[in-house]
Order: sequence, then C-alpha cells, then structure tokens
Amino acid sequence: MKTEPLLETTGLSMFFGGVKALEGFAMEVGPGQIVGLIGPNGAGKTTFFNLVTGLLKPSAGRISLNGRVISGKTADQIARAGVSRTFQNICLFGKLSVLENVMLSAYLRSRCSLLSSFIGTGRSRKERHRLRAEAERWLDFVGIGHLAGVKAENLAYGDQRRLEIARAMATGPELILLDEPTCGMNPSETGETMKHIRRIHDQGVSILIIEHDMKLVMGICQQVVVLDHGAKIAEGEPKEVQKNPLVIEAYLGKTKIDARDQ
Amino acid sequence: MKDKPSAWLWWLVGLALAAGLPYIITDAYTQHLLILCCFNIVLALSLNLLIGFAGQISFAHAAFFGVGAYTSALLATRLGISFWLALPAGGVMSAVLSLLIGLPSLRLRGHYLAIATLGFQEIVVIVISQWVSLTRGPMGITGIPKPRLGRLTISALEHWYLLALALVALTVLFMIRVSRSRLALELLALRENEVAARSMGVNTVKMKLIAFTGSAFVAGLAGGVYASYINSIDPYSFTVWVSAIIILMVYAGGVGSIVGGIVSAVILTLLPEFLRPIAEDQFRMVIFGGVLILIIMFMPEGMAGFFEKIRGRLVPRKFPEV
Amino acid sequence: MGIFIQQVVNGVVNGGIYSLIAVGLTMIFGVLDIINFAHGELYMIGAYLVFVFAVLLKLPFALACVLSLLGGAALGVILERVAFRPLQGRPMANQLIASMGLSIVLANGSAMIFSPTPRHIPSPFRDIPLEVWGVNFSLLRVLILVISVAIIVGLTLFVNRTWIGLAMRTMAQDLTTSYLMGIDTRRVRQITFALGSALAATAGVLVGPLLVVEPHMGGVAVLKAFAIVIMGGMGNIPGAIVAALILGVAESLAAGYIGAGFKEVIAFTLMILILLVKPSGILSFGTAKKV
Repeated sequence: MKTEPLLETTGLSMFFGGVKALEGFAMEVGPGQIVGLIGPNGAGKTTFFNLVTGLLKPSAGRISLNGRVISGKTADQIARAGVSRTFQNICLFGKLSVLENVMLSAYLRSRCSLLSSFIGTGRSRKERHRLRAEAERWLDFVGIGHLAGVKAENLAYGDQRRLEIARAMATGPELILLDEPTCGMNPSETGETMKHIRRIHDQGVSILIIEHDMKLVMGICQQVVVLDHGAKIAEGEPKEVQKNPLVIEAYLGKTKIDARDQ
Repeated sequence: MKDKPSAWLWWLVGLALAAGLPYIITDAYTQHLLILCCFNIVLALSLNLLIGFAGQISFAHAAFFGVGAYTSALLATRLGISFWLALPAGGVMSAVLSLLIGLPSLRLRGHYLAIATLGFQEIVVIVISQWVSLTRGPMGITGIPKPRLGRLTISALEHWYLLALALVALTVLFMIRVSRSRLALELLALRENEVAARSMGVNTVKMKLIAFTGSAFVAGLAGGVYASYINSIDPYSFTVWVSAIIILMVYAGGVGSIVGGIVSAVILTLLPEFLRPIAEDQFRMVIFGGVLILIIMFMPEGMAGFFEKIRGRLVPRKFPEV
Repeated sequence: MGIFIQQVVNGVVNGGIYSLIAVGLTMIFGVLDIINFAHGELYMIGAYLVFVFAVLLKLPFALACVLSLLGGAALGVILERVAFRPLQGRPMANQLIASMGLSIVLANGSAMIFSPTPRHIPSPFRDIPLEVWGVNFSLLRVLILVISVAIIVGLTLFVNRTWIGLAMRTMAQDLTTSYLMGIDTRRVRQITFALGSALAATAGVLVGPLLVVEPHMGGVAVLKAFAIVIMGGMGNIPGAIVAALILGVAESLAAGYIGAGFKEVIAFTLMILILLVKPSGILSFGTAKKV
C-alpha cells in the first residue's frame, strides 16, 4: 500500500515576467524519505524551495503538506506547519550569537504567548530555560556547542553551514529542505555533513536536498528528482537516474563516470 | 539562565540619584533642561525600539510625539478631560495613526521606507497646521491644564521633573522587558535577515506592526505630558528636524542600546545649551550638523559600540542576554 | 477657462523647476545609490551664488548664471569627495543621516553668511507681460520654462547618446560589473554628482528672480523632490520629469481651487499613493528594482 506523501506538488509553475523558472512540476516526498533534487545551475531548484517554503507564490499549481494545501500561505505559516530550510547563500542572523540564532527557531515551539514573555511570568522563564537547553542540544548535534557565544558572522564557513542546519532543525520540522549543504566544502567536511543528514533522517524527519555533489546524492538519497530548465526530466532511485540518458546529457556527464569509479 | 539582579540594582540606584537631582540643582532653568532631557530620553528609547530592535527606519517620530500632544491637549482644553485619561488617549491615537505608516511600510525597505515615513511626517505637520478649526493652525493650542493628583496640582518644576522621570522609568522598564523577552529575539532576527526570520517562523508582519505601534504609543504618551508641561503647543515643535534630532540621539548612543540612548539624549539636549552663550542660533545649528556628520562617519556604532569595542562589556550588551 | 489655463501653465513652469531638482536627485540615486538630503541646499546655493555674482559683484547676469552653475557643480564634487565617498558601503541610513547633517550645516551656514532675511534678485530685464489667446503669461516664466526644457532635453541626449551617459546607465544597473568591465566608476560618480548638483543649482538660478531667496528654501524643495523621485521611480529620469510636471500642475490647480495651504500636502499624499499602488514608480514597466 502506498503511504500518503508528506509533501506533494502538482502542476507547479513559476513565471518571472517572461522567464519560465518552473513548469508543470510534480513531485512528492514520502514520510521519512530522503529525496535529492539535482539539475544544472539555473534549473529551478532553489526557486522550487522558495515556493515550498512560501517565499514565492506559485504562478500555477499546488503544494500540499500532509494533504493540506500550503502554497499561497506565508513563509512563517509554512514554517509553523513543519517545513524548515537552509539557504544556498548563508542567511544567518549575523550579529546575533550562535546560540541566539538557534533559540529563535526553538521559540517556534514555544507554548507561551508573546505577552507572557514580555511580562516575564514564571512560566515563560521556565520555558526559556527549556528552549535554551534544546537549542544547546542542537548545537551539540552539529558539533558547534563550544561556539555558542560567538557572533554568527564571525564563524568559519563550515561552522556557519552547520549552524544553518542546527537552526533549521530547532524548529522541529517534519520536512527539512537543505539547499546545497556541502557547497564549498572539502571531502572531510562533506563526510561530516552526510553524517548529520543521516542522523536527522534517523529522527524521522523527511529531507529534501539540493546538491551538486554526486557522491552525497548517490550515497544518501533514496529517491532523486532531476530538473532541467524548469521541467522534470527524470526521477527514481539514484542508480536508475544515473543511467538515464537524458540526465547524463543534461547534467551528469563526466561526473557519472567518476561516481561509478568510487 | 540567571536574570541579573545586579542590573536591576544599578537601575534603581540610577533612578534614585536622578530623582534627587532637582533638590541639588535648584536653578529653575537647569531644572527645565532636565525635564526636557527626560522627554528626549523617552523619545530616543521609543524610537530605538523601531530602529534598534526591528531594524526599520522612521522619520515620523516627531509626528507621533505631536499627535499625542495635540490629542491630549485638545481633549483637555475642548472637552475638559482629565490629564490622566487624555494621556493614554494621546498614546492610542498615535499608535492608531502609526498603522497608517506601518501597514504600507510592510512592503517597503531602505530608502523607500525612509522617504515614505518622511512624507507621512510632513503630511501630519501640514494637516495640523492647516486644520485650523480643530487645531487653531499655526497659532497652536494654549492654556493646556496641568494635571492634578488628588489635591495637588503639578505645577512646581520639581514635581514636573518627578512626573517626567516616572515616564522615563516606565519607558526604560518597557525597553528592558522587551529586550529580555522573546520579542527582542524575533525583532532582532527581523532586523538581521528578514527572509531568514520569516523562514524560521517569525511573523514579521506582526513584529513590524508591534514595533511601529509600540514606539508610536510611547511617543504619544510623551507628547501628552509635554503638552501639559509646556502649556502651549504649535505645529512647529514637531517638524521633521525634530525627528532628525531624535534619530541622531539613537545613532549617537548606539543603535539598540538602552543606556546609550539615555546618555546621548542627555548630552544632545544639554550640549546646545552649553553652546548658547558662545554661539548664536545658526552657528549652534551648524555645530550640531557638524557633530551629526562626525558621529556618523567616525562613530557609527554610537557610544555604546565605541565603549564595547574598547572595554569589552562594561556597558550592558546591545543585544539581549538570552 | 482663462484662469484654468493660467494655472496649468504656472503649474507646468513650476513642474519644470521641480524636474530640474528631481532629475538631479534621481540621477545621483541611480548611479551612486545615495539619497542626498543636502540636494535642496545646492538649489539654495545656486540662487545665492547668483545673488553674489550679479548683485554683490555686479557681474553681467548671464555670466553670473553660468558661474553659479559651475559653482554648484564644484560644490557637488566637493561634497561627494568629502561626505559621501567615505561612507560608501555603509548602511543606507548612515548616508541619509550624514546628508541631513550636511543640509543643516549648509542651510545654517548660509544663514550666518547672508543673514536669514529673504533676498530679492532683480530680474535682468523688465518683465513684459505677454498675452496669448486671452491668457496672461509673464515673459520671465516663459523663459524659465524654455530654459528648463532645453536643459532637460540636453541632459536626456547626454545620458542616452554619450559614452559617459552610457557609463552612468550601466552603473545604475550593476555597479560591480561596470567596474569589472573597466569603467572608471570613481570618475563617473564624480561627474554624476557634479551634474546632478549643477541641475539643482540651475533650478536655484532660474528661480531666483521669481521668488525670494532665503537660506531655508532648500528644505522644502528637497522634500518635494524626494516625493517626485519616488513617484517617478528611483533612478528613473523620464519618470521624474513626468512626475514633476504632474505635481506642478496638481499643486497649481489645488492652490487655485482649494486653497494655498493644502497644496503642500499633495506631493506627499501622491507619493504615498504611488508607493501603495505601484512602488516602482509611474513610468516603470515590468519588474523593477526591488523595493
């Protein structure tokens, strides 16, 4: 029996003036799945992420989470519905500390009102302790717990990427979208990130990854979807997609041979 | 996480010292200056909520100050409403009006937002000075009654100072509570990176509106108190240049810093007075403009940032301890 | 009917003056990404320079005008070097506030030098009233309009047909790429600032004989210029021209039919309306700079 998909898009299109960024895109992410989204630069992958997370409103089509339509909702509503993300160009809160960055996300799960926080009720104080502990846990999860007091903009690049992941996870999402999480990383850092992703997966969170690193995609993803010029040209298990001539032509090319040689 | 009891102690000591000032300094003119300092502190702190925390910019703060003043004054002089009721009414009026900027500003950023608020500021001043039947236009409103507390009418300068100081204390309390609450985190996230903040679940619309209306409300309250203190008001006390001075106070103190805002408000209120004997009106303004430029060029982080750089953390942090 | 046309014509003339100020401001914004609060003071200084050259130094009027124009350009270059270049790359608010400081210094400085009393600059020729189709025109106003139009046309040609104009346009689109393609961005910035300031000064020169000149006249003018720049779209020169004309006529009609006091509100009300409805400006098409 096929389980209900966690995330589902149908006929999703996005036009910017005359530019067709995405057209008729349909795909799904099952609960607890790791899906990779690949394609040449400019294929529409980040645009897709922006649509799912509510930063853009689709020109046509629908996006549903757990059967409920989320396309057209605001970004913060979608975040609260259980979708979180990291950014291709790091989008941290630069002047805030590492801990503060993650605490903000943790506050998404706050059960106290803004007013009680302002007044400083005992309950809100307790909750601040609780959420702070949780934030610290996520920092340890990605291995930057020792940097809690540092300003986010002062972190090394690799640590900033890890902070992005911690921040995204602290919102307690059902689905996390990782936009090129290993961009600019060396192989050992990439390996670290792969470990983090696997541990996120172990927690039952569904993951959708945009990646160019084929080793990671082949090694981690259960399903791969390929975009080119705004249209889906292939989908399936990594090994099948790797062999698909359309995909090879559009994108994998030489890299496929490298991946096979691993 | 420890709430710092020592910080509260410092504030209380400061408050006590400040309250004692008018009994040490008995010169009437200086006392008047101290009262003006209080008003400027309240204006600078309330604007800091918008600029320092939410990262927005507004040239309309003087307009909200003025709307509060006029509302309170009109209610008192035309309808005989007591000061203590007219005051919050002024605040509410300013807050409601701020939605007129707040709502369009949701889509505006940077230069556009700055100029839009400037336009709003100008419109308010023009409307006040043209709507003669309501506001008596350029002649202003006179004979604004003093507040009564039981049998006491607040008219002595010492008492006015205490009232103004109470307003300052309330504002500082308000700002401290904001800075220690979840509000600060969400506002600062909005300020640092609006897109990321939205993606992490911050309702940036709500936050911006809270920042606008909150800062306008406080400015409106200050306006009501000011109107009663100064006895007569006219549109020219609430121009865009007043807004500019308040913005300068925020930047000179250090955007986001509560202590910095207080210090810079005091200094910038007293400085022109010290210059008065040695320089005539226009020259003082030239110096003022020069100071403005120098501060922006060489001390853009303001006094708080400057101190933070050279001494570490003697001055309370700009950003809330979470 | 005659009065209506009169109002419209007056409005167009005012619009012409506004457009000189606004075009300079929007040009500077487009290329340098700076909003110069002190732009109004350049307008004021242009008028005062004519006073200095023509009245105090008794130079021939035409020469005085040219010198004032050059003076405005020179001041612009100085301001760019001293006040705005050091602040490059800083957050926008810094530049805005610094330019406010400049505005205060220049306006009050002028008041100190020239005294705050309004001055009158005598017109170089007797103002012969013309009558065309039953409508009264003042020669002076017509002349101002003609000169404004000529300048705007010249400027448009300059921006669209010369190398420097091309450089300005590319820098307005993408500064980094322009720099990488070998454009001397520093020099173009200087020229743009000089040009924009000269335009403002020219407006002051033209307006001198028409209105009284006083040190704070820049303050009011610049706020309207801001409104026009927003209405036309920031960086959009044709937009600024159109918006300036619309504003000039609207104000004139409002002053005539509603009352002089409220005409000041029009600029800002229109501006806010445009910001709500079409923030990229009245003459923008398609996706414009992100607001």
